[in-house]
Amino acid sequence: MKQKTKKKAGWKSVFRHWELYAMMVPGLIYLIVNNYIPMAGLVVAFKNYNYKEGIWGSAWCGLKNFKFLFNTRDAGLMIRNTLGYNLIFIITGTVFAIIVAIVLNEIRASLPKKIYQIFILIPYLISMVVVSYIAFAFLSTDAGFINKAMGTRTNWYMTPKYWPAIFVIINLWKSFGYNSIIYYATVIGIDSSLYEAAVVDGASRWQRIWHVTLPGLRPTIITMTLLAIGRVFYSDFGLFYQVPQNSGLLYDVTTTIDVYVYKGLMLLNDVGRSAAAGFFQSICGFILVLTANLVVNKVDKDNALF
Amino acid sequence: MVQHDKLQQTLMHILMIALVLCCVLPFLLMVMASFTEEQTLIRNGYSFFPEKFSLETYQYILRSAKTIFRGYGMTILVTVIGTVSNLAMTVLFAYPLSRRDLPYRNVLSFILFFTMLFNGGLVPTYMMYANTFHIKNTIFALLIPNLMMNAFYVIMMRSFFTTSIPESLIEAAKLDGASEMKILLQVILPLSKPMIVTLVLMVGLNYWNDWMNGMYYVTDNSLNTIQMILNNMIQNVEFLSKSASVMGSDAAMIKMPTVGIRMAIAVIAVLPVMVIYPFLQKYFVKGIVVGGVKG
Amino acid sequence: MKKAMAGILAAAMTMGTMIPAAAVSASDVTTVSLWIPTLASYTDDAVASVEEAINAYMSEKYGVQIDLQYIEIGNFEKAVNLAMTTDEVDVTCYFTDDGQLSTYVANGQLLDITDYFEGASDALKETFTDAEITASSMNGRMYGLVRKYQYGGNEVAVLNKDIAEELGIDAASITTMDQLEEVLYQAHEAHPEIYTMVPQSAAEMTWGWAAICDRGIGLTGYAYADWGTTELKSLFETDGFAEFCGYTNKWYNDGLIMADALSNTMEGSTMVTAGSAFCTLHNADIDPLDKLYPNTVVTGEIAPPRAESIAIGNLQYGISANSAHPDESFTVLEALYTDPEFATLLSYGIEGEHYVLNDKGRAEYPEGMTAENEPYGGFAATAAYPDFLILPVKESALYEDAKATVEAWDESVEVSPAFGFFYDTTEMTDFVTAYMNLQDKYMNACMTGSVALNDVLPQIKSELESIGFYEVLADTQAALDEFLANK
Repeated sequence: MKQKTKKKAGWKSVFRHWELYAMMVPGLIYLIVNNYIPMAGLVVAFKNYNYKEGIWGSAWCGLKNFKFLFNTRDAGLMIRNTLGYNLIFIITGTVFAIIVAIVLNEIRASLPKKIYQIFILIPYLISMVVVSYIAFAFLSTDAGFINKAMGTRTNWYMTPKYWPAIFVIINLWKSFGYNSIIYYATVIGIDSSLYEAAVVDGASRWQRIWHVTLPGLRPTIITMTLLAIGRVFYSDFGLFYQVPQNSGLLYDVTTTIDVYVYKGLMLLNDVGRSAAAGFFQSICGFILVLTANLVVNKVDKDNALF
Repeated sequence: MVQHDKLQQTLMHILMIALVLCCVLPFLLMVMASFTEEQTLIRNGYSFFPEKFSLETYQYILRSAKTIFRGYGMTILVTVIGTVSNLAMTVLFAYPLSRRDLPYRNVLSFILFFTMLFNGGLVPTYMMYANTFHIKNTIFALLIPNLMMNAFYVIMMRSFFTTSIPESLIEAAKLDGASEMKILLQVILPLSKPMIVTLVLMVGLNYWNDWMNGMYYVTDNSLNTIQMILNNMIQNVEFLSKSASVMGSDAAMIKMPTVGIRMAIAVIAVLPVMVIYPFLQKYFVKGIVVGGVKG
Repeated sequence: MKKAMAGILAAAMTMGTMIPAAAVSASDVTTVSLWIPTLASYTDDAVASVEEAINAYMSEKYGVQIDLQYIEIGNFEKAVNLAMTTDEVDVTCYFTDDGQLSTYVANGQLLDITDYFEGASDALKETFTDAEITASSMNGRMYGLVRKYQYGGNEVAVLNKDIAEELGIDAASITTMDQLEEVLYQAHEAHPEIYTMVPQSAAEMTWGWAAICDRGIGLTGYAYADWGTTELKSLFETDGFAEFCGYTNKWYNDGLIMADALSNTMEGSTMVTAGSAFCTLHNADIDPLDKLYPNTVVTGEIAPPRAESIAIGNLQYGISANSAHPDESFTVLEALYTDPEFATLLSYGIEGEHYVLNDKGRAEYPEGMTAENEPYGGFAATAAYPDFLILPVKESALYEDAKATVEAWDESVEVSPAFGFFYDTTEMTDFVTAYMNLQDKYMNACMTGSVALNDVLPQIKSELESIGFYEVLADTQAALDEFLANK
């Protein structure tokens, strides 16, 4: 480490920037306390946690805590659901947000444009708990708005086949505003001379979108997707647990890793296994981000995350 | 050609208006439900035009006004203090990171980025905060764990600084003999309004909507925030549906809040966000744009 | 960079030894924290004033003080489990209705109190029956004291009084599911605009297992048997469950049961009282249900009083293994069951403020107070406290002597023949989680009649097979047979 110091920066240079380092002290302390110290506790993923013995005193148990992630009937189910929903969310979310962003950009009237921007962000501000109430108001069999309006008696909370679509819709509803604003911003940022050149070449609106706008969005798409990939092993607990009202018949389509761990922990209070699940999610996310980033690095060096 | 263009514009407006309605109407349905008389709700279902209006749910809330408004007060207090401290730490951490001449900048960035991927989990975090720092049942419990600084926001802030603040400005200020702190406060921050407002909204929202810290670290009613009150209701309903039999017939004596009341409290919890948000919206869009893209 | 990271991590690890901070107590009097779940609303002021009154009494009599910790019941298990990782918890309530005792013991969360109990006063020892001591013991060691409460219960239905009167229904004469069915159809015809039948609570059709089968055998969550038998089965294959679900499925298909039963979040009794539902099933014991719910009538016994293996002591009080003051904690634990003055202060609050004793010596709310506005909340949720038998009888009670009544009730209850049998599941956590998920998936759906048991039974069986259920059940059966042979 010392050698590196000498080679790269030298103590003098470090000292010269003492003010900047001093600024970072509160943040660093917070990161150490809030993030790094508890990380030492990840060892419980490899331990048979005993309350009396505590984190350090408990006996080691190897990989036993990880077994349930691979070796049970539900393992395939929860990993399939977690990954599957995330992939669909990434694809639908990106496509839809880009469409909205382009439409926003093509609209000329500036006041309506501003108003649209205000309103499409509203769902982003609402917590999942509130979303679950709203979903119930729509989907309740006897009193739900959908059944009342259509005159049907569909029992939504008992029919698994509807739920993948419902999750996709809710996820889109909640996130499209935020994502489309990000893409919209990138669209505005695209060099206008490119458009002018396209117009001179006689390109139609569609051709302009296809040849100028979409390539211009590429870096943003890559960054957003890379960030999302790091989280494909996580799921929004509120969406998969609270919104379906924890209805038993839907378990096959609602059980994600987070939901399973929550329910297991509620029942068995198993500190080791929930730590194991968290560890697994982190490691997988880490590897995926590094791999995806590597691929991006090969294909399109400028847009890699790091 | 012009005709064609007009048609396209109209179609696009129709699409956007449809989307706006999709965003607003569900929320409106919830608001209407909170004003619907309970029996009407059961009999006629959820409707935008309820047959029978009732203020009963809000009267109920007024009856427990002390709890609800104290919860409100707590939420506001925590949101304000939390957002201010978070912003201060975020800016102070992000600014040095945005400086290309800072030695070990990459190491520090990695230390930050690493926290986005790994965390120690609930139990070790709890043991540390409860045992070493004794923050249980203090206001710090609602402020500090997990919410006070977020690597993602720091990275957003840093991107904003690197992309939107010309290095020459900093150089010029340095030549004038300004200290780093002075540069940050007098040169950088005034130029960073959109990003700061964006983070105020996002961080504020996190504090406003948080109930986890309360659930883990607070057992004292006087520290309940509005989201905790809402969450307690949900948890109690869930408990009743699973293992209420342990409470015997006493469980029956305690009336669970009706659906209408739960809707009303949800409305109350969301309302301030809805009121404040349009004022911040202008900057919000700008901020997401610059910070979010290169995050 | 890697080295730097490693260094930081190592530093973090050494800093993070997380040794519990030494408890600093300024006074000579030890403070013992007492964790109690509550469903009632309470104010901090009321709790503080009760705590003060308790401490004035306790510090003089026992030299200890109490730190009262009330937790919303829905958060209780999560909060107390987290708190038990540290030394915050001394004496605490815990639930064992899903067989959690073995988990608590396996996790090392509870202090072994066997020796304390042996050295305790006769008054304490006489409080508990052998059955109750078995219920809080595991492998011959005792880990807690059960809440004194009547065992199990019978099954009744609660009907809306207006409709029952309008249709001339004699509720008390209804004693079978067939008779209940008859009046349900009658009510449905007369009032199709309301729910004829709603679950007792949220998605649970009934809390009472008297009408269904014996559950929780061996204090496990997965072993069931038909009443009076000791042949272990899966819940879904018991005759009692099939019979019960046969009724509910028919009712559901005929529109008698609310279609939303599975996503319901309301209390059945509340809906019956309000007139938006006609009937809900209910477990009953010595407390009068129709006094509890205005505007209702209660049917006769649909199933006789029975107590499943797990029903005895499904709520217990014990000491956290991490408690810094085990001796003082046991003193408090003992006082909870043997000191009526302390128990009454804790359960009802301060006399004259939170409850009053009327001229018959019975406890009731002070003038103008109800369950909704009494600030301490203990009176409304007395079932959470350790021992209501040593408290003044409530005005609403139908009996004079609580202890005698409960004892007589317990005598009359048919107790599971497998009672006292314990099967260790601590090494099978993956199986238990998988099973509980499977059961959650189908149980309420079948019990509310939302799906027909026969339609899903083949699927359930194949899923049970795939998690290795039948092997585990066979092992449990072998252990049970051995237990019964030795008995």
